[in-house]
Amino acid sequence: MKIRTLTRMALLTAAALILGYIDSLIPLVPSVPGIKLGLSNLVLLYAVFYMRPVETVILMFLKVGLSSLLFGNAVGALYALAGGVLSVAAMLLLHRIPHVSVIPVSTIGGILHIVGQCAVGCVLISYKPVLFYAPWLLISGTATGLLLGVATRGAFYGIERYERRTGV
Amino acid sequence: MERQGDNRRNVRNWILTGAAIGFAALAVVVCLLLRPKTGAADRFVIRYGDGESLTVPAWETRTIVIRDGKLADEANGEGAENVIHIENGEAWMEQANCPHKECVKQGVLNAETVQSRPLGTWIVCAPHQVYIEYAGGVE
Repeated sequence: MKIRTLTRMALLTAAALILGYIDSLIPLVPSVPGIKLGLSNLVLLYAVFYMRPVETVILMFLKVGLSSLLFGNAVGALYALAGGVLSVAAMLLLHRIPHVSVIPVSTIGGILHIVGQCAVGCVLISYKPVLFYAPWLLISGTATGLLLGVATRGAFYGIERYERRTGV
Repeated sequence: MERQGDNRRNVRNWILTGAAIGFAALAVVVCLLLRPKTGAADRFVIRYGDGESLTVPAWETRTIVIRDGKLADEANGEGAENVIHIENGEAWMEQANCPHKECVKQGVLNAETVQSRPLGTWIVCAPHQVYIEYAGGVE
């Protein structure tokens, strides 16, 4: 792995951890655990579009592993891992469709993240609380995925304009 | 010509986004249709550890301490600890030392609150794998 790539991944991992921590400080619906803005997924969205698939997958594992180690526990890591694997796999596949924009990629990633977490919930707990829980998570996952997609499209536009201007 | 290509790309992106939102909406409707209707119940079932459970009549007054997936005599804040209180047909997570204490914030389970609580008949502490179910009133 090139030093440039390694440095970029280290920076992105740090950014994902900081955004994840900020995310945990913002309770969207206090009575429903797990509803978050998903700010750290901005980093994964960037990786899907600007890095190689293998680097994106490594970044996802680093994000899940380190954030669970620092701010969570093993069970939380299982939920995050299931959601992360499913959403990153879907986002990488969607990105292969020519000219697909970041908005559907982010929205579908957000929804599948929730689907993965609900699947783990069904295995670890039972399907019954998941039936109560899932609608809230699906609505929030769709909304935040869409919002992050719109925000990221703006950021990508800025990055591409900068690259065109500077030739980086 | 270029504009036509742009339009086609936009349509493709809108269709993908719309399909994703449609899928999520369908999943929400399915969950709402499948979830059990709740009414007045007569007991609380506490699930913990490796598939173990404890059933407590709703009218009992009792404090239950679960530490590291096992019942404990009293709370001492060590290990993965949850303190559940049951009184007058109500149950709530009194204390927990999980990372964000979201189970404590989930409030009280009783015949009235189950109608409006986001998690219905459940209080869930996912990090410690401790769950309280308001059981017996499911139609």
